[in-house]
Amino acid sequence: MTKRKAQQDIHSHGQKFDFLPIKLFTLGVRQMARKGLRIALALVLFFAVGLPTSAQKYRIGIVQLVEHPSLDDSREGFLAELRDSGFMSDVEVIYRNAQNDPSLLSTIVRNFINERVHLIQAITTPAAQSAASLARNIPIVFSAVRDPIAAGLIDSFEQPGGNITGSSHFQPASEQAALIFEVIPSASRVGVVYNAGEVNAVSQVMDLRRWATDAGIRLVERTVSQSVEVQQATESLVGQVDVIFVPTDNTVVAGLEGMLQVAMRARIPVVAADVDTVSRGAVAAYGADFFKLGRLTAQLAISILRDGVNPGAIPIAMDEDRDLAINLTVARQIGLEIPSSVIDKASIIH
Amino acid sequence: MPYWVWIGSLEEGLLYGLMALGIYISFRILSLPDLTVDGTFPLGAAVAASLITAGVSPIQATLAALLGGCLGGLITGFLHTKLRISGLLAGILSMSALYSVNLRIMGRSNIPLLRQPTIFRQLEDAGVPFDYAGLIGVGIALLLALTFLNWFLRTEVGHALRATGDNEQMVRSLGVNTDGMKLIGLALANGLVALSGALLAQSQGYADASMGIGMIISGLASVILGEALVRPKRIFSAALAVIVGSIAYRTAILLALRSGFAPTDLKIVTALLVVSALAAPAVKDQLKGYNRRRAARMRAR
Repeated sequence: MTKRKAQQDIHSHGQKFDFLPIKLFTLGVRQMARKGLRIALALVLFFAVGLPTSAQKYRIGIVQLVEHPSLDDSREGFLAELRDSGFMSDVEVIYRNAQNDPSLLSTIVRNFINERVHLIQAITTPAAQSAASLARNIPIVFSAVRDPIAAGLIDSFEQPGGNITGSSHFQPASEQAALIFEVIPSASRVGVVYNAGEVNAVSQVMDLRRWATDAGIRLVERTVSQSVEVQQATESLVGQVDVIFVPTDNTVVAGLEGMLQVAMRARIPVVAADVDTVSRGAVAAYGADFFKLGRLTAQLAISILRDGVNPGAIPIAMDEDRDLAINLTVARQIGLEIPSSVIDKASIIH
Repeated sequence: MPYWVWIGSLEEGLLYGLMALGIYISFRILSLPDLTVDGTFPLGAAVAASLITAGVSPIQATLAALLGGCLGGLITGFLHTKLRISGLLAGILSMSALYSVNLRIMGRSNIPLLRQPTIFRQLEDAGVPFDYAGLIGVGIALLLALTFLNWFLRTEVGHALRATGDNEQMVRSLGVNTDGMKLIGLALANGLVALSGALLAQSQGYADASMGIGMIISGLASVILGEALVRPKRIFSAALAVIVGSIAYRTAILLALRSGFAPTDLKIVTALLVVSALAAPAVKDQLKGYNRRRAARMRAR
């Protein structure tokens, strides 16, 4: 609005008070007459995009927060299991990614509801929360959720309740951190960089704190709120820690290269909680196999859709197998000798 | 496309429309680029979610969130008017400070509201069908906000507020306390933003510290889109235009999501849809001009 118009507006309106609904109505009618063509065009656009989809197949909507290797694996594993079990021919998959914009998650879920999907696979905690809140009549299976109880998604691991079940990669952080001692037996100061705004990461760090107190380790914490801050946070750890631990934190994992660059220069080994990170330059990781968890999630989906099992009665799928990944190239570069006992156990060696 | 597709983007458009109204007040009426929004939006969600889980009734929690947002706006206003920090920087400072405040208020980064009473669940209990509870709840909130704004912007203070945004020096020479006007405007704007955040948390079932990311951008897009689509001439139709813009923006995202492009292309498809909506008047004018020139040439011949 230009200044002059605003001035006019002030004068012309004086103290007149309009009753809102009537004003809305008359305004609507006036606008409608004037904008008739534009509205018609918009309607055509709507109808053109929303052509009906085939009705015979099961429609599965996959909603994922952001693209990164563990989450992509959760989806790929899910799809692989659908294919291998021969169920894929009965299924139509709609995959939507929120591109790390949390506000898009509910848009996507609402759209799934409107598209009458028969099942939703929700990848990551916020995706699952949006789905559970909005889609109360559609079965939901979640993946890549570390602590579904803390997230308010389920009542218990055995009896989730409601219309939801899924797989969890819950693993005590202490179990992962124990790897630190196997790789670097002399470590006494452990650095951890995490996003205090990420529920998964915070619950792991709480776990680490308990572990550190018990083991007599000094835990040096640094928090970030964006991926770009990871490098700076790592720089502030140089000289204060013997090793850096990376939890399954989407923010830190996204900014991992910034950390690795600093750690490499300072010759600090980085131990991670997810195995994908090792291929990018962490020394070792002992973590869940998200591809396999994706497969387990698909099995839940199949029993819900094909066998009509009530999702709330299916226990959460867990995977006891862990992958141990090590990166010998990086270890050599920073002059770290990885004990042969660890190398023998490793299932992935870079 | 059946009607229910509309309901999704209509509900979200109205929900984020409250936030866009706040942005309209600061950016357009006050001419103050206030970036506090990315902090006050999750602040509203944080306050509402913490209070609801503590047993406070959803309506009271939502009102508290609104007041919290006003407070956030006042802090930015204080930094700007009293400490003479530029408006842009003042907003950035409170926005980043609020990130920590929000985490403190929640005590953790994410509060689930899935098993808690919310305004929408109360509407369901009162007999509103689940599919429409969101729409009706948000609609009522928006109607209240619009009625309030419609009244407020016509009061003496409201006029002074609008005039402050138009010509601060002139208004000050008339004896109006422009600093006070800015404080009121920022409080009002951020109150609306926090209200929007509080309602979103209850609608999507959780409050999260990262909820505010990109709110300013989407809010501004809604404001500008609405102005282009409606071309408002009065202050009240300008406020309505913001809501129209918000619904249009959410619809653009929905269309981009449904368009079948690769998920990586979501943002650019959204941007292109918004560009085409914004460019339509210019293209039309140019076509008109071209036709006129051609007609003139024909006549000259």
